[in-house]
Amino acid sequence: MESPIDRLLKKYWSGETTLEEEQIIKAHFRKSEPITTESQYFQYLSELKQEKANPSRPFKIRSKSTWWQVAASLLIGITVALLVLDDARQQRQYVVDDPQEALEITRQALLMVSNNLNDSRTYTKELEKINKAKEIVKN
Amino acid sequence: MKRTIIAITMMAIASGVFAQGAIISKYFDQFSNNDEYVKVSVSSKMFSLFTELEPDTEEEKDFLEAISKLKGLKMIMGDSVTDAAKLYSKAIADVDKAGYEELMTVKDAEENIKFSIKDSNGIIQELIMVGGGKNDFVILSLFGEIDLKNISKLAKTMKVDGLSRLKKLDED
Repeated sequence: MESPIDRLLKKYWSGETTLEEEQIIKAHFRKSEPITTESQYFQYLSELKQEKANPSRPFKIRSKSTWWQVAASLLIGITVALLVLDDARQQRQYVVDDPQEALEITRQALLMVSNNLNDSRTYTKELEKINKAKEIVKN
Repeated sequence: MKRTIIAITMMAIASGVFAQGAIISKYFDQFSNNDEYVKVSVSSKMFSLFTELEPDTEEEKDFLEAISKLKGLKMIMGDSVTDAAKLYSKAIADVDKAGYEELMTVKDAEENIKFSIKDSNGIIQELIMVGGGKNDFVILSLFGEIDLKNISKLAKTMKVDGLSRLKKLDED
């Protein structure tokens, strides 16, 4: 034997209820004592509706999370800046300031690279690929 | 969602910029208090200065041409390293992990040399050379536009052993 509310529920789940009928269902489950999945669902729906009716609340939530976003991005920004600055400071002490010396160092370093490049007979495929790409560019 | 994507993209770009020479920087930090290693860095400003030099010999002209498109040079080397082999294999692993592609490896009885590169559209953007011998260790990074043909030509025209002269430079 189906109760009127069961009939309405059947209609609701197949999406055929009118707004008025939905109101009846919600009103029923607000009062209903035994907590079932369905009663919780409709109670939740009613709560959602109340939240929407209160305009100041969503705004407050938003402003709070915006603050967090600002604070978090500031923190990230400052950390990155500090890391970069510290790195730059540490690296600066090795920079050669005298152009003559820098040129000489570059010359020796390149010679070293050059010598080793020439020494090798074991060119990998990677080099061939690059040479081919260069030829294509040149032609 | 959109914002997350933008943030991630920006971070990726930023880390890409800082990644240039990042491996060497790590070794600069690691050996900052160790005087056994020679640590040098030539800035992009210095390289732009070099382009103004007038070559007076053919040899000089080749050299200036080879470095004309470079943007930076960083190098660390030591010749009395106790655990050079270990240091070498660790450096190799670091370079591989950082996404560099192997260009070539030179192995002989005295020394292992490995060249790794980062390229885009067939143009080499960074060249890393890691070398390890019995007591020698060297890691060198060149960045800018690198033309291997030009660089390998240098040794033929200059006919000097770069490594040995660099050691002398260190003693001065």
